[in-house]
Amino acid sequence: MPYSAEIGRRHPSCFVFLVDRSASMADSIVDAEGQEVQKAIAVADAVNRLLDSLGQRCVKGNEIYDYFDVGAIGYSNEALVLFEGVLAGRAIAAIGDVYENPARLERRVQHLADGMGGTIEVANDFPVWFAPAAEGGTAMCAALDLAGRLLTQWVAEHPHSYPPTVINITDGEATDGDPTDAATYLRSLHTLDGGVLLYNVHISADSPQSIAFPQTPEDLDDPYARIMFELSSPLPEPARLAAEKEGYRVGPQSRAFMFNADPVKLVQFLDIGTRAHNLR
Amino acid sequence: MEKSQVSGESQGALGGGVTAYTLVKGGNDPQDCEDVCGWDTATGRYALADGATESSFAQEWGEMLVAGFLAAPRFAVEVGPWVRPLQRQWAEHLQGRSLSWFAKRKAQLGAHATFLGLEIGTQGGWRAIALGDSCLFWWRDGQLLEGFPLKSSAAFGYRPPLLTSVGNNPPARLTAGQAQPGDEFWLVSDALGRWLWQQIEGSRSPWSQGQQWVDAVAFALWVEEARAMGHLHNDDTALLRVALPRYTERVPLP
Repeated sequence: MPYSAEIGRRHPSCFVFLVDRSASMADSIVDAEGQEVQKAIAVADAVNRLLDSLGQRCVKGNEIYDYFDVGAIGYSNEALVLFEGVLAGRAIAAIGDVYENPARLERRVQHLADGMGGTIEVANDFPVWFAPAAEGGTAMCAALDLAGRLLTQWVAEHPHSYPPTVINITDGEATDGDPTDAATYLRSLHTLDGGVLLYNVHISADSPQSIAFPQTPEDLDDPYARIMFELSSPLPEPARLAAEKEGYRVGPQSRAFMFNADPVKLVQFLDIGTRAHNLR
Repeated sequence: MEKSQVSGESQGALGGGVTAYTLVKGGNDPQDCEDVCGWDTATGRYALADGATESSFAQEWGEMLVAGFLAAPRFAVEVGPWVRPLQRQWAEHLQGRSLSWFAKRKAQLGAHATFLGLEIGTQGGWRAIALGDSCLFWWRDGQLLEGFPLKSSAAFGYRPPLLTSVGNNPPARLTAGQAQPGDEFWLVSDALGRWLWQQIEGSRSPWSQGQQWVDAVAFALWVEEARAMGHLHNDDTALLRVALPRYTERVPLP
């Protein structure tokens, strides 16, 4: 059965994030608290938090187990590897290296259960890797191409692993051509456990019109949304279950695609796309 | 407490005895095994904990649960009264350690483990407490008398209830029975528990297979082969086997 490989240090899986940093990402969107926030800030925040959550899943005692490799590619007029500092120049790195080397740590107050039915305030460090950016075009084809090149090598080196998951976060159409060929190539890459999964999330201020995990292009009026539907992988079983748990209506034909997502739905989408029930 | 990890240990007399084997999941270092077994023949108590993969310090928490159960003045019938002192001990234990920012945050979320405890009285009366998917199998002459707390292979899921080192714990399941000389109790973690139920459901005899596990090497070979064939999940695997002596005059149960 595809998408059933256990994820462990011997056979890690891989997540690659493609982040739109085009000029339109400077536009506003309403966040979970009802505040207007730049799309670029909402996306950077969501990806930083997701990486933190992936890292936390891999912490065992004082160590970080390398259950995953992680890659981050930004695109505006061209596609660029986003890691900086110690990680600069590395397109894909083990989660242990990524998690131990954020660009900076940010102190935040958390409310944790006190064990007696209440909560206590605890100040903790949270890592930040990516700063928001918004300028230039939307070189989505270049980003998908770069991911394709990186993962061609990755799947060859990890034939027994749970296949890589690529999550593309964008607010608009590609300005460097038709992304269909690059996306088709990316999805054609595979390990023995199945093909590379391509998730696409389109963020927009028009969230009341959001459509999650559509089953057919007829669910979508917008021609651009139909293209993105075709680019997206069928939602694998573990993600389907996770989406159902979040209250989304999904079916066997559902695609890994969300159109007109707001920041809350973006976070849910990222969480569903990176859920790993088979961590060993 | 006697503890067995990776290899096996046994102790027994007159055809009875205690044997414990634990084997780490394939690909991990032996010291990373998060299944913990322990027993105390003086009190007739036997325990098994299976630390949750996704939590930090799960092995140490499992060890603390097992030791706490064995040392408790009375058999625990409720989780709260015997786990709360352990939670306090755990908090002190962590405060004394130097942790990186990421380890500190994960540790604050608590360590989690399944737990199964068994107490056998000198007259054969026994009782057990369980939380999660670690299972007890009670055998007489090769026939299963009871499986506890799960009753089928389909009952194993990805999110069993767990005993946590922080916060409130869910209620435990309890059972009891009357054993006879020669009975056996197998305490197992989830991978082996699921396999045992699959054999029983398929009218195959896991008891016969169990007779082949004569020592730690034989058990390890069987586990590795069963994992390779896809019959057994690649997970930490533990078996704590308690065989009551066939003749009990003047001889305390194991």
